[in-house]
Amino acid sequence: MKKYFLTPLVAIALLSTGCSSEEVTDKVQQKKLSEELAVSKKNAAEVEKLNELYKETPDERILENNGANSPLYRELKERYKTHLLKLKQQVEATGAKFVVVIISPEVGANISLLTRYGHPYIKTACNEIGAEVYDLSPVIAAQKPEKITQVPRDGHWSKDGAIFLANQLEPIIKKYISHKSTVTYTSAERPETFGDLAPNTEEILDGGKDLPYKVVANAQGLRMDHDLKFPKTKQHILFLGGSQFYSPFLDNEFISTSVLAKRYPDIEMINAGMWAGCTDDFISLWEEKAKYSEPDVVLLQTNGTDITDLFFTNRNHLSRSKKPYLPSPIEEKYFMETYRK
Amino acid sequence: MLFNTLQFAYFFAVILVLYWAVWKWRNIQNLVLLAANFYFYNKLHYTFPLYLIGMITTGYCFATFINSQNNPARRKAILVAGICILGFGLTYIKYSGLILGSITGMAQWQASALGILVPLGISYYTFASIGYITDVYRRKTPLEKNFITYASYISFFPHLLSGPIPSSVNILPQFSKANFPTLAQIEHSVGEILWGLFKKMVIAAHVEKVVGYCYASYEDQNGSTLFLGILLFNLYLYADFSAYSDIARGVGRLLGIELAQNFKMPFFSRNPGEFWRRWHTSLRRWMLDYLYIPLGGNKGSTAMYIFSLLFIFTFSGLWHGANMTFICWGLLNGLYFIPYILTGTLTRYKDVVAKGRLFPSLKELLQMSLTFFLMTLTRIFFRAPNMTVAKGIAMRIFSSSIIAAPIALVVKSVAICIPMIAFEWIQREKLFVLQISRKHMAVRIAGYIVVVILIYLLHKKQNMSEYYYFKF
Repeated sequence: MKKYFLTPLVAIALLSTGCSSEEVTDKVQQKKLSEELAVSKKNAAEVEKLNELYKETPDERILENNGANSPLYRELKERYKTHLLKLKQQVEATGAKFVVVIISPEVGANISLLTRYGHPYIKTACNEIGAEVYDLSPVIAAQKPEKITQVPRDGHWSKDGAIFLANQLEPIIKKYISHKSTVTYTSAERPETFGDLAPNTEEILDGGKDLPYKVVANAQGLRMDHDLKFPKTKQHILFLGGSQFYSPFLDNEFISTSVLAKRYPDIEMINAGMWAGCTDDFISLWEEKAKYSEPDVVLLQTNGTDITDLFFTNRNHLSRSKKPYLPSPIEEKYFMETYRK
Repeated sequence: MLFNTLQFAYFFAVILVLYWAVWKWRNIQNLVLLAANFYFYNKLHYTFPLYLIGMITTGYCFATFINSQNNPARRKAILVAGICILGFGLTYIKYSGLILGSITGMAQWQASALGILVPLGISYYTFASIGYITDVYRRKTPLEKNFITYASYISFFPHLLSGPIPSSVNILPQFSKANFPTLAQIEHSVGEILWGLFKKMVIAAHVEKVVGYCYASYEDQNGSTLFLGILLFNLYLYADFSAYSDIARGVGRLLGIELAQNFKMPFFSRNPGEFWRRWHTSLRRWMLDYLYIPLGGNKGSTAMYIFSLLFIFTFSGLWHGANMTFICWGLLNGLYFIPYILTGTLTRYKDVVAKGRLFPSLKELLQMSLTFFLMTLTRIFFRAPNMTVAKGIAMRIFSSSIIAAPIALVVKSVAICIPMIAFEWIQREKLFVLQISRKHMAVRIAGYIVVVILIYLLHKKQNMSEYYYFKF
């Protein structure tokens, strides 16, 4: 008779033990989550406050009136170089190859100040930090805009442009075809997504330009039609960059990484391009998500815009991390002189 | 200020209160209305009210002038002059850019040759003005001497941008008497507005981009995807345009003005004739009254009858835009009528299909399917930006790739539209789906709440696109 009483008691005790250990884990996780939530709420409030105080984002205006020699641009360049170095160190710490590719959508003779002053500096900065750099902008500038871009509606790649870009990237890919990274992650370490797109989605977007295109995101939030498998059996090349890799206004199958994937079926071309991103965003994406895709080669797409995009108001308005960026004294001075006179 | 925005809700709430606060004084009500109309129009662009003032003044002056004459020849001459001036204004402002665009190859439907912005709704209020002066000439409608009343009628904000094109015979007199809506009418309006919002914010908003994608990427799509794409456009256009008309009617009724019903469940038509008696009926009525009947209508020989119809449809195409695609769209619609005219079956179906039954007969189903298919085909031309695209889409649809699997997104989008069609089928004997005023109070309230919840849960966020017919 006793055992009939004891059995459920033992079962209850065991269940409650299990529950309590789960509860402890849950509580720790909940605490962590609520702390994170509190921080993000605080950050959001602070960002909102800053955005109200500092509304304007100057972009190319920074370079007008001999702005290229200004202390502000020097500061932004230094910040940019620090980002490049940080990213390079983090990528190389995984044993992956870090390659910088300067890709600017500017075609023809109308080269912007961002390109004119930005690109020489990017090459200098890369040389200083010892990063390999390829400047594709001269060859892009020599193309016909109506062929490789979607002008007059938009300056991003057309289908022909994506093929053209793939052709330009191909020699770089070939050069590192046998490069392997040294770091692997366990499934517990890997986050759910490696990119910022909503996972497992297929939708039509048009960016307000009446140029509808189909975006397919895989389960890992990357602009790819299939999921990455682990442990990996193929070389992984990560395309980290802005809209030049993301390729708005083109279906997945026509973007440059898909063109390359068809040419190299034994390589995973991982597209983590983000529209309106800059080095600050690339670092945060790399740290939080992209590095867990275990890339062997990282192609970082950058251009002159990435330097001026580091101005604090731009960051507060557009950064993916959503953390507040306070102005440096130089930035504050520039802002007040430009917008509050 | 779109109907499906909070901005409009606030605006309308204020107007409603002000309007009914002065319900004893009709003239003051019309003044409130006029101010609201111009505020509403001015929100789109500050230049738009100028055109509206021009059209209103021209229409008013010509109508007064016609009415002051007794000599038939003089009356006619003044009418012709009035139509020419109003028509020239519309043609120049709306079509000069299109004509120039088709010559230069630049798409610029939104700008005239002068580079000025084409005012939204200009076709609608020009047609309303032409209709009014013609009705005064025909003595079908008495002259409206009160300028404020007349101006309120032409510029009435619910029908200003996309109709229904008002008939001076039925609508104008309503601006001269106080029409306090009854509770039943208020409920009717709420139901109509809710169903309109559902069609715009849930159905049209979800499928709009997919439609655009199919037309824009036609070179990369197979025949079945493109066929579903044009079918989807047909459904989208209905959801979008009829939504505007429903909301306009609901809003109008709350202000005591009963506007014409523009759509009468057109997808359940058994031939093209019936379809056009159920689709954009206010434009059809305008065409009949002011073009078709003056041309002789169906009184002459069969050949003349067919010619008149083809002319009307071509004109209707041109009303939509000075583009070869619209002319083809109009002509194709006209050509559909010919076999039915020759067999004497064009005007056969006047009552609702399968009345009193849940399901149609096989014959009715086939007739409805054929009509829907024929109308869907016309949408190739209606949405394509030029003939090259229209031809490309048609070539792909009528190719072997019609049997290939369509892309999933298009199938999913068509599926989104099915509940709308299903509800409309069930309620096809009513004016609109939420006309449930004869049901028990609990059923009605539950019905309205369900639709509100559906709109809230399913509406497409960040979608504030204009109504498709604004551009016409």
